[in-house]
Amino acid sequence: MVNYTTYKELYGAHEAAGLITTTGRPSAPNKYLIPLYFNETPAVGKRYYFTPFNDLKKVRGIRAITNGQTTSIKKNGTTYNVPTADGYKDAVLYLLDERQNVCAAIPLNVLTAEANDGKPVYFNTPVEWRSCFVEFNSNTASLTTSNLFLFEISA
Amino acid sequence: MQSLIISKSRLVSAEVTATPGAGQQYNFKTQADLENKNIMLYGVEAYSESQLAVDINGKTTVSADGCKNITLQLWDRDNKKVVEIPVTSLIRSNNGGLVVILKPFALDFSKCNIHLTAGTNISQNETVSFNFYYKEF
Repeated sequence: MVNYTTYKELYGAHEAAGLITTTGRPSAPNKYLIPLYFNETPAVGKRYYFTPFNDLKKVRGIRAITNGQTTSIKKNGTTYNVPTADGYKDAVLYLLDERQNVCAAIPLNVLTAEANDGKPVYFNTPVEWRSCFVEFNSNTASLTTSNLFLFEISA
Repeated sequence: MQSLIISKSRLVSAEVTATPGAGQQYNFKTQADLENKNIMLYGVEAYSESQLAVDINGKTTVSADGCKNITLQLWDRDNKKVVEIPVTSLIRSNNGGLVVILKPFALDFSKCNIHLTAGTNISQNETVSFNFYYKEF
């Protein structure tokens, strides 16, 4: 193992290896606002998949949008409410690659600006978006079909 | 300031299986993707009940106050304890939103554990959850 004598050396090596980056907005050519609707009251242990999105092959950054940023989304005449940051603490996002291997698993709450002080969460993760899903460990926030999760994806 | 880039991550948790008390240590539950593998750990994050209400095994997560009485101990494959750090220091919201970045080391997951410095604000059967950020080598 390499011995680093200064933090500068360590961070330089990390940066060269693609493990860290200087904090800022994720540098990505495309940004997508992606909702996740529930067709039932969210059930513990059940996987909720995103609408297929063929363009998405790699994820560079994700933010979870709370009602502090956007209160609701209207679709086909129905209003869906965006939860508070607490509403995101019941579920985990799983990112899978094309071989169906889990690359990363992130509790949704830490993707919110309220939990991460507005810092982006960076990824260097190949994904097959139709395989990625959100799974609920609990539903302490009592989310229903009138709620949705909303994500800003940098790709 | 430097932010961690997530390459691979796994959620892991350690359960307090007895009446909580100072000096107790609890190992992590099985995580096949991290055991007996060539894992180079470069970042770690902890979650209290405020970030993850219930862990991936359905167990209630320790509260933010309870996390003040727990440290994380990480061991490398040379049987050396390389990290011992309070869990509260690993919670992103306590660090201005940043994940704690480590000097990469070869992880021996089976040896890693949590250590209780006191039993206050912790209940039996609660768990502490972490995200281990790593690369395979």
